[in-house]
Amino acid sequence: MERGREPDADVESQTVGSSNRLIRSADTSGGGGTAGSGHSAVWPTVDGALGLSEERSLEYARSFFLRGFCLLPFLWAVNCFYFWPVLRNRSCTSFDLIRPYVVRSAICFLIFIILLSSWVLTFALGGERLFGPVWKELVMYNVANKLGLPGWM
Amino acid sequence: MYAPRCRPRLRPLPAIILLRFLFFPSHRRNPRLPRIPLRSPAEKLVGALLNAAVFVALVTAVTFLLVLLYYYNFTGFLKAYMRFSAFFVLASMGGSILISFLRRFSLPLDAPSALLLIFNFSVIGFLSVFSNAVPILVRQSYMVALAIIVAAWFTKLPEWTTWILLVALAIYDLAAVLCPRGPLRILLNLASSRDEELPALIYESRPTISLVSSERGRDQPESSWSDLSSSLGFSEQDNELESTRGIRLGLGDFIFYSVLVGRAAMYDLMTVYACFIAILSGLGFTLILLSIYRHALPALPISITLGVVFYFLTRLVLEPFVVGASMSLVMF
Repeated sequence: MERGREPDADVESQTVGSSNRLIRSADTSGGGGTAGSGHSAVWPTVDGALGLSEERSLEYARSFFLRGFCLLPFLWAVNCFYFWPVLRNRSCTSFDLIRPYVVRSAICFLIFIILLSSWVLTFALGGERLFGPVWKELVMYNVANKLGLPGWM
Repeated sequence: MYAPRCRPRLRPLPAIILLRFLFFPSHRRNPRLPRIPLRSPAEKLVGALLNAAVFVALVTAVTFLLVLLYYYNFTGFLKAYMRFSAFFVLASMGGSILISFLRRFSLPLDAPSALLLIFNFSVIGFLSVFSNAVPILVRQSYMVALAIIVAAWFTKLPEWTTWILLVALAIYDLAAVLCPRGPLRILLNLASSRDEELPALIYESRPTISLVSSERGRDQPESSWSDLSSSLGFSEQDNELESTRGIRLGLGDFIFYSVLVGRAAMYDLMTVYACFIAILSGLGFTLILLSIYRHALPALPISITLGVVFYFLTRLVLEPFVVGASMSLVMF
């Protein structure tokens, strides 16, 4: 296990004097030069001003939603979590492009969770009575033993 | 000048240590381990020193390789390699830990679901390392998970090797970051001269955001400009959001703190508490030094020194005293 791949051992300083200014100034989304309107802009991501802007978040929302169909349902969960303000604010019109993807991700993730939990519970509680000898072939620790997968202890 | 708003919240450090100890409790006498022939202390010491020397040499070589790659702008390759290694660690080592769990507690989870979960866990970890579209909380949790998994595997090293290795790495860290020719120092200087972020697995605490409004008119040397703007009836205020960078701690440091506490856990709970407090106070002291010196500092030496000293003091001095006194019903 090489340690060198992670350049470690730096606790970097917070350079207060040369703090990074965010790329966008907050009043461009509001339009106009009126003071004070900038900081009331609603950010589409749960990270707020540290997250993505609205334009860039559309492509990410779409790509996460589509990639979730490649056996990656937890990408839908990440999508929902990340764009939680989009789900909450139904009134804000600027999110109308992102919202369909986030809502669809939420629905697909709910469906997946229902299917997964029902299958796992059936498997765990039914046991051999329900499945017969196939149960022993399917359960993870037997599969790991058969394939010789190493355990940690 | 240390700005008070830069309050670093390094809560994951106690979380790692606690999780690590809860999930992998001490097994002093594990009946499943085969009996190995006992060796004399001198042999053990020599063996441990050799192991540590080889490891530190390997780490130095790989770090210099990293410096070379970064110098020749292979940043894309470095990022891809780090993503791949994060994926691999989460899938293989994390998967092994899951399998051990299932075996130990005989949990009837079926193979397809387990594989799906491991796959998802690893892929989201892979994405969260450098992607922008992942919440900061998820990224931090994955760093913590990586540290726990790697530290759990490191505790399989023999005991003497672990302690000598920790001390050797603390010394290496000190040299690599503070010496002008140290590899980590070169890397940091390169990164800051190019004004870009190092591609690295780093835990960063959440940056703080504050609103700064600066009147544009102030910068203009002529007073006529500001007169003009005020006469036109609008004041140009640039409402910019200013963010300060969070405190950053390399993942390697996390891992070796956890290895120290993990090894302490394999002796007794008292040593765990002692080392936990020692590491946290070492970290606090390092942060104080950081605010004084204002450039990158090695995070390992102080904490590891305190941790090792406290471990041996607790094990050799405190524990016999406390246990003896309580068993004789004198105190405690």
